[in-house]
Amino acid sequence: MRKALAKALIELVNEQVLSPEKADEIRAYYQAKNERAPNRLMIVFGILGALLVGLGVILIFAHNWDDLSRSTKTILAFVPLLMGQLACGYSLWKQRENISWREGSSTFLIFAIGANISLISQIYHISGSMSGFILTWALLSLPLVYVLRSSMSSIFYLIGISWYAWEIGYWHHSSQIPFLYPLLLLLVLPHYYLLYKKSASSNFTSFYHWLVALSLITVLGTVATDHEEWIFVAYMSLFGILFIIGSTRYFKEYRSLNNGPAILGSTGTILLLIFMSFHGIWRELADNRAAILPESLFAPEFIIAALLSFGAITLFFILHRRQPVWEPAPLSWISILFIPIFFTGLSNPLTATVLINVLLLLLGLYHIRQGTQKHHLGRLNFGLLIISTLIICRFFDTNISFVLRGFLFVALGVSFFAANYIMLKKKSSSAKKLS
Amino acid sequence: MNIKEFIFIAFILMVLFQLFIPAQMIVQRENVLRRGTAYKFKTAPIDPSDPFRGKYIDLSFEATRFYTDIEAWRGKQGETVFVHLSTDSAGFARIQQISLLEPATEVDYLKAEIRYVFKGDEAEASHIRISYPFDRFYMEESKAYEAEQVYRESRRAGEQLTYALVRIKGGEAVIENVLIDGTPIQELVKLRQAESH
Repeated sequence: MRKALAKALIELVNEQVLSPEKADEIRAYYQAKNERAPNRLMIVFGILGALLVGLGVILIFAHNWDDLSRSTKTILAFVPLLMGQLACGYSLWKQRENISWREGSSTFLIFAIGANISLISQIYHISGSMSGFILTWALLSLPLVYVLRSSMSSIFYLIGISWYAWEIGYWHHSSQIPFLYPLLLLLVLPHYYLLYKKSASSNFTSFYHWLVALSLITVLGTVATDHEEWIFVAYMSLFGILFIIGSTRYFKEYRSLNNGPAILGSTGTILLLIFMSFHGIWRELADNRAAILPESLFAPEFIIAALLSFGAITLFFILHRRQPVWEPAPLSWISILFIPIFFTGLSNPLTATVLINVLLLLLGLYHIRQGTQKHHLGRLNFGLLIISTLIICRFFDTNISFVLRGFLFVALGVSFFAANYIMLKKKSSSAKKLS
Repeated sequence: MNIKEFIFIAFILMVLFQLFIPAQMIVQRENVLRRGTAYKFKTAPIDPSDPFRGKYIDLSFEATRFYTDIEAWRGKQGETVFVHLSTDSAGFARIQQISLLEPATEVDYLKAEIRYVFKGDEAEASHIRISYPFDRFYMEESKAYEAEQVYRESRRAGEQLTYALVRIKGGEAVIENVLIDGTPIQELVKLRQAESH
C-alpha cells in the first residue's frame, strides 16, 4: 500500500495536481503513523513462536518417559504450567501495553495447561473421554481471556468449546446434545461485547464474528437426535438471523469478505433452499409426518427450531421499523417464509417443492435485475448462478431427454456469456459518455 | 481498590484455579494408590494411539460379566454402577455383586459403567457386561508396540498370566501396573529390547 501511495504521489506532483510541499506533508504523516503503530509482524512472530514452543512441549512430554518415578514425572508436568504463569504475570506487570507479550505468554500458558492435564492423565493412566479433556482445558484457559485481555485465548476458547460440543454431539458413540455449550458460550460473551465496543472495525473483530457464526452453525446440528426433521427449520432460521444481523449498518461497513454473518447467512440459506428444492426430500418428510407432529412438541429439535424462528421473526420486524439501519433484503424474507412452507410440506410435499423452486427462481431473477440496473457484474452473475444451479438440479430430478438437457445447458452457457457481454458493453459505453 | 489491585487479585485467583484442578486429580489418585487395596484383574491388551496423550495399551478384562436375572436392569445401558469385588481361588478379582447405590458396608467396590445387558439365549445365560474405568495403560511409544508383541507371544506359549494391578479405595480405582507372570511389562520389554541388540 505504501508503494502504491508513493507512486501515486509522484504522479500527482508530475501532473501538477498536488504541490511538492503538500506531497511531502502527506509522506511525513504516513511515516509518523507507521512508526506509532505496534509492529504487527512482531506480534505475529510472538504468537507463532509461543505456539511452536507450546506444541513442542506437548509432543516431547507425550513421549512419556517410563523410567522416571511418579513424583518426578508429576513435578515435570507442572514446570511448563508454572513457567507459563510466570510469563503471564510478567506481561501483566512490566509489559502491560505490549500486545505481543500478552498474547505470546497467554498462548504459551494455554498449551502448558493442555500439556499439564495430558501428562497427569498419562502418569495416572486416567481414561477419561476426549470431551472431558477438552472441556477441562477450555475452562482452565478461560480466565486468560479476561485477566490478560488476550484475543488469542478467546479464539482458542471458542475453538475449544466448539470442539467439545462436536465431540459430545457427533463423535461420541452415544451422541448426545451438548447442553453445556450455550453456557460456555455465554462465558466468553462479555469479551465479545467489549471487542465490539472498543475495536468494532478491526480485522480481528470481524474474524471473531466469523468464528462465532461458524461455531453456532456447526454446533446446531448436534441437536438432531430423534426428531431430525425440525433441524431444517432451525437451520433456516439460524441462517436468517445471521443474514439479518449481517445486513445491519454496523456490519455493512465491513468489506464484504469480512462480513462473516452475512456471507454465512446468505450462503447457508441458498444452499439449504437448493437442498430443499428436491421433491424427494419433501416426500420423505411427509412420509414421516405421522411421527412428526404430536410427540414432537417437546423434542429438543422442535424447541430450538421454535426459539430460533421466533428470534428470526422478531429480529426481522423490529429492524424493519428502523429502516435506515436495515432494509429487508429478499433473502431475509425467504428465511421467514420457509416456516409456513415447511408446515405445508408436511402434508403437501409437491406444493412445498414448487414453492421453494419458485422462491429460488424469483431470488435469481431479483439479483439479475439488480445487477442490470446498478451495472453490478457480480450481482448479475450471482443471479445467473442461482438460476443455473436450480436448472441443473432439476435435471437430476426429472426425466427430460438427454438431448433436451444438452440444449438447455448450451442455452444456459450462451445466456451467461450474452448477459455479461451486454453488461460490459453498457458499462464501457456509459463510461465513454462520461468522458 | 483500583484497577491494578483488582487485576492482581484476579491473576492470583486464576493461577490458583489452574493449579488446583490438576493438583486435585493427582491427590485423589495418589491417595488411592498409597492406601487402596490391591486387586489383580486378568487382561488381554491391544495397542492403539491417542494423539494428545501419548501411546497406551488398551486393556480388556476377563472379569466383566455378572450373571444375574436381568429384569431389573433393562434399559440401564451406560449407567454408572457399583461393582463389589472379591477374589477367586487363583487370587484374581471377580465380581461379587453389582448395585445401583453406593454400598454402605465394608466391602471393596469401584464405580463402573454398564456396557450392555445381555438377554440370554441357549448359548449363554443372561448377564450384565461391565466396562471398567481403567482401560488404558500409558507406555512410551516404542515400548507399547513391543509390549503387545510380548503379550502375543505369551499367549501362544499358553500358560502365562497377564493381569493389571489395580488399587481400589472408596469407589475409586487407579491402575498401578500391568504384569505378565509377575513381571512388570516394562521390564519384559526392556529385556526383549536388550536381547535383540
